[in-house]
Amino acid sequence: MLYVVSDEGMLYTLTTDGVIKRRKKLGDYDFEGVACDSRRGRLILAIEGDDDLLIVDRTDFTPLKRITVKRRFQKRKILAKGGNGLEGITLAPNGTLYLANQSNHKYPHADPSVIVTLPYPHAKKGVITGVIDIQKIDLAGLDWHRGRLYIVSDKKDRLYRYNPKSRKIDLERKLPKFAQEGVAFDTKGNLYFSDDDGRVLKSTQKALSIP
Amino acid sequence: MVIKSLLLLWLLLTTSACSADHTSMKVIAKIPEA
Repeated sequence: MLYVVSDEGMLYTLTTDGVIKRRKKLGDYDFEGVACDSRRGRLILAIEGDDDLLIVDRTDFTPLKRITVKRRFQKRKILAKGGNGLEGITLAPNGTLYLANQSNHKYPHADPSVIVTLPYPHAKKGVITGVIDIQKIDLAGLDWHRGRLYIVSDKKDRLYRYNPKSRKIDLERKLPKFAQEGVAFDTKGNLYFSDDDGRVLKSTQKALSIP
Repeated sequence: MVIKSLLLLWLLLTTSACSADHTSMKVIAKIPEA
């Protein structure tokens, strides 16, 4: 199953062939990303602008709780109020939640283009516990796949792979020109992109030369 | 000569970093309320 959100407060479930199986309006939210917590049967939705997380039930989409992400890390303001804000979100199996702050400014500029980490599900206070600076701009989507963090850059039309052990980008792929908003892998060698026009695109790891 | 070699290496790395088959990318859905 694929989960897709919209900036009109909608949440969708799609099959991997693109058939919409469920849709629900959760409110007047500007959703920009969704991560799946399959262990607890929950979805974690990133709300742009407010920089909040909305936790919902994965089965019936009932909102369960809302978490405000703190804007500072080690006394430095990372998330600016009124900025582009949170765009990408993914959850690693070890419980680390990764969130991309969309920006055209590289770190350490104010409101920088970075990925922040939070512990999950103990993110009640929304405290940022780490910052990943890859020196790339306009980070729009994230997905954790086989021990690596995949990142799409809208402006650069790029897919990057970040290795958390070496703390470096170890793969980069040029994407066709479209307004990338999200990325997701399945377990069958396929990957999916969402764009700003509400399109969901499907490709394969083989086609993109991703081992 | 060194500059030429470096340029060739850069071209090789750039080509390698960007190689991908985009013809396989297909639109499978259009979200109506987006």
